[in-house]
Amino acid sequence: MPTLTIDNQQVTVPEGASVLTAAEQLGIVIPHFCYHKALGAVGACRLCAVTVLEGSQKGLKMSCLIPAEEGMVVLTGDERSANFRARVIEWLMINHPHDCPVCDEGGECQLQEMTIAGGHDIRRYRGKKRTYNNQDLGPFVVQEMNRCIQCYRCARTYQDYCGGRDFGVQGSRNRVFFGRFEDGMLESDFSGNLVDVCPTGVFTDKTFRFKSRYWDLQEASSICPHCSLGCATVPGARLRELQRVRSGINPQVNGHFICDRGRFGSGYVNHPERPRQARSDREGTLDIDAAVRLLKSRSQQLIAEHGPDAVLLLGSARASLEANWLLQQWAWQLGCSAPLFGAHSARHAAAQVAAKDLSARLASLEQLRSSDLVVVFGADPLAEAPMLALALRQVIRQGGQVMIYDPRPIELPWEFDHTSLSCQDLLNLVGGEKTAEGDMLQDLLQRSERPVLVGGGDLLGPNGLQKLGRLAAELTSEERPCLVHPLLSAPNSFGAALLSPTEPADLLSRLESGLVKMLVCLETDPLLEAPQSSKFARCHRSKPPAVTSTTKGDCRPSRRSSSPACRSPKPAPAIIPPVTFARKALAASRDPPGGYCSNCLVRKVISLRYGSASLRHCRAWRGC
Amino acid sequence: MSTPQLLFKNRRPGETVFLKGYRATGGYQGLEQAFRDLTPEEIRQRVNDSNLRGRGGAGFPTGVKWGFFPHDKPGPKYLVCNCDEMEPGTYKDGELLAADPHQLVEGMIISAYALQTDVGYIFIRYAYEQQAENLRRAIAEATEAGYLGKNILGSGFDFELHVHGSAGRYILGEETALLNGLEGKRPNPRLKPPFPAVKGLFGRPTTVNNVETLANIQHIITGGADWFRDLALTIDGSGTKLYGLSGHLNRTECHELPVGTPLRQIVEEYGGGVWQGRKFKACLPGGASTPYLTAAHLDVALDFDSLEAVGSRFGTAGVTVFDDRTCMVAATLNLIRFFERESCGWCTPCRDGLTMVAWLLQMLEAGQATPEHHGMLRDQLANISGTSFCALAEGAMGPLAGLLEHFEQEIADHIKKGCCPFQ
Ligand SMILES: Cc1cc2nc3c(=O)[nH]c(=O)nc-3n(C[C@H](O)[C@H](O)[C@H](O)COP(=O)(O)O)c2cc1C
Ligand code: SF4
Ligand code: SF4
Ligand code: SF4
Ligand code: FES
Repeated sequence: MPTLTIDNQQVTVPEGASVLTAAEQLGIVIPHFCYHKALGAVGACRLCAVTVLEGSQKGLKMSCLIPAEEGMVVLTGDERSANFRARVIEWLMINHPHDCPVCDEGGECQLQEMTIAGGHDIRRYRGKKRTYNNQDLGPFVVQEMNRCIQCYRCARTYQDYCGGRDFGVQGSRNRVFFGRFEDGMLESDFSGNLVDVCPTGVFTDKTFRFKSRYWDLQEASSICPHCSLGCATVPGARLRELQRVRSGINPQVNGHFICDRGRFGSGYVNHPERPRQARSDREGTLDIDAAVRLLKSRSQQLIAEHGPDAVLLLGSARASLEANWLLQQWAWQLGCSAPLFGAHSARHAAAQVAAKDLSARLASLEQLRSSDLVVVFGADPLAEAPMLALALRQVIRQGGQVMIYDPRPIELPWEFDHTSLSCQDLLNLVGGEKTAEGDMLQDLLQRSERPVLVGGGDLLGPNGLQKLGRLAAELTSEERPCLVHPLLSAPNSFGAALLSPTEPADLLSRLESGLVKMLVCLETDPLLEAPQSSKFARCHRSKPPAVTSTTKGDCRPSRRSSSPACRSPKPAPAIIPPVTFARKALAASRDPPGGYCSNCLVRKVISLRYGSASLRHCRAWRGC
Repeated sequence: MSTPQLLFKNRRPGETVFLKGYRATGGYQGLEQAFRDLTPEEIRQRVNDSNLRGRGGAGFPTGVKWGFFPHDKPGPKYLVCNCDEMEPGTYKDGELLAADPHQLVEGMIISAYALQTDVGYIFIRYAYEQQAENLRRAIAEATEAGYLGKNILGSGFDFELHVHGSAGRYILGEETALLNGLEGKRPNPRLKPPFPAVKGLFGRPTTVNNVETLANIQHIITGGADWFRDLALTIDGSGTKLYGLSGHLNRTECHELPVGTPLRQIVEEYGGGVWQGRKFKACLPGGASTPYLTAAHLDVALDFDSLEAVGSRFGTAGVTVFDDRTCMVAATLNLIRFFERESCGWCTPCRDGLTMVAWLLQMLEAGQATPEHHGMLRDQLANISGTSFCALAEGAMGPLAGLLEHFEQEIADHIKKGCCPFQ
């Protein structure tokens, strides 16, 4: 832990930390381009120069490359280094078009910031500027190569970090080009990260093109709703429209990047057919407060008439923990039976194993990334949880090994070991049955230092996940913990499972019992999510008096009309649409006027007085 | 010729010597002696004692470099010969391999034995087709004769040697860019540390040496370290050197002369004097990346230390002479354009800084520059020197530094006259 002095301030940093990161700890930002937390230092841009007065290397040095040393003395604002940094900016600006007014990056452009920070103002170079032809890279990313400052971050992200093969560096000298071999859609499932990682306006979000200035955008942190990993995202909205999603930073989960599904998969939020108004089959469209009153009175009435089983509350793995918890409170208040938290009982049961039995040995994606051997049982990473695939990629990059056992043809854009085997063999393998394959695997696992076992909840099921937990327990020793990473089906499967009683009742059998007169679905549509949706639909049809009131979160109109399951005999008799995951970002445009997130909706139903703390939380997250 | 000829002893115009001819003049005796009488340790010691300095340009003592090499580390280790030779004014390695390819092959086998490397690569300039052909034949002959392959001369030591053609850019001569190129990657230089001796080709310990450096090894073995040191005319120097003459001379050939031969002797005696009866104005003493020498330096001995003392470098000993009608601004512009074009594009001072320098020089040459541009040129020199990622941009600053040091007046004349005074 060396202690060094930077600009007359002392700081102690971990062994091996660079001077640049040490300065960061003191709040001193040394200008830089090519260094990026997730990509590391490569010493290309030379902007991060500082003057080292004391240390094993003295003079003008690149702060991203030199490690902090005990007793080192560094100046960041001295004339020599400031002068040099101004030259670097001047060099980088030789070819840069002055097109900030029409550049989408404007306002959130590192080049703008560093140009100001570098003190460069008037261009002295009067020669010809270098120009490029741009490529059409498909519907998501626009390229404007003239703005490039050659920091190589894009290629390092796309090729090195994400394993993409159709994009890279071409050419040499001051004509290096960052793009594809020829025009065409970027193939990587992580291509959108080019937008975040490029410090200039070369790569911008095509879906956001010319829509807003950064400073006009209402941004807020959120969590991606598209798979179970829960990557941090930052949706940005303006003019009653979700305009873009960019990656948030959560070191324990996604790090700095997200997948394209998370970034570009939110078109439904703006979809004109997404329900924005409460409605009921009798009253037509209603204002939300009226709908809430209706829901309260009908549910109370039904319980009074038919007893506690007449109303069934169905929570969901898509809803937040708070909303599901509030649903439980409501059930107690109503005196009806306890809510169910998943329409799909097998998935729900798998989630319960993960939440309850495996909780002591769960691996975060961060831990997974630093593992030396990851064995994946029954999961297709790219399809089920893209950022898991990217975490596996980091394991391989650091010299670790990834083995995948899965009956399906698995594709990843890099080399890995895939063994195709039947579901039964898969379960046997997890169960530790003696086979040649099993012995080989055991041997590898025994030799690894930080093994992580990934289990697909869908293919392994609750029993398989139990077995996985036992396998991990057997492999765990004092000095070598073996962690598991169960892959669940929805963003909050884990939370929903935590709330469930140990023996959850099956939704279908409850409905078939005939006792349920009203089903309240919170952010879920069993017609889409239950495993035997046709049976469910039949049951739904045969019980016309049942009143179904749906408050469904990310209601997807397109899926509703195209999916066969959605051609339901009767739509839910009443719908109260909560806001989407981008609620906070949409707050400026109030969507719809007076809208609430599902968690505040349930609060309204049970007339719970907001504790100020929880209200603040909700404001921060959803913006109600 | 009075100088003992080591590397060029078999060179005759238009001829290439192969195994038979090479053996006839003592070829492979060094190798046999090394395998018979010496341990790898003793060979390394002898090379260290000989004070042989790298002939690829940087002049790093070969013995010291070999001293860093983890020769006892288990697993694959590599010896790479750098024959990229793309620097303007440097053509000595090509001359040697055109005449006598076994010189390199023998040197590499002994070096491999000394360093205990099991595979060797000769990374050769794309245009050296004939030389590559010669090497392939020499390798086949040496393998046939039992000097290469498994269990060389019954020593139990294995070594295989391959020739790999370069893609043809100057940056591939930089040793870490070369290793990337050899691995089939983009030839950007690598971050150091780790140095190639620790993590080189395919992540394994690797030594990169120049053709001429390696070809000297067998002569050090047969002649001994003291004899080798005594070959030089300077006290600190050692050995002979291949001087490639070019530019405004009557004869532009490559000669093997002692290290420390004075510039005047090279120009007058071996170059036959400046052409067309003109006067000597300046020269690049060691390839395009070394600062100019002027007529005031004609008596300087061409060796590493003596040239450093006068602010230049020995480099590759490719001596390019300029006569008194040469515009040094134009000559420097020409060189800078080469470096600008050959920049790999990785770091800013080189990729964009050289563009700026080229533009400033071109403004000067076109008579459009002002004193402010003159100042900017100095400013560029100060900021590009020592700040780039690899030595290419550093080398590009050689001629610029020479121009600003010795030919300030010429720059001022360009500005004052508003045109090039030589036109
Ligand atoms: C831009 C650049 C080009 C170079 N080209 C060559 C070359 O063509 N041949 C060579 O031997 N060394 C070249 N070098 C030097 C090598 O990096 C390296 O120092 C040398 O091969 C080491 O061999 P030596 O110790 O035997 O001299 C070049 C260096 C730079 C920076
Ligand atoms: S395109 Fe962007 S990220 Fe890529 S090198 Fe250029 S400026 Fe850097
Ligand atoms: S990996 Fe999953 S949570 Fe993360 S961004 Fe992609 S879809 Fe969203
Ligand atoms: S100085 Fe920089 S740009 Fe130039 S060749 Fe070296 S690494 Fe490439
Ligand atoms: S940030 Fe250090 S060289 Fe680019």
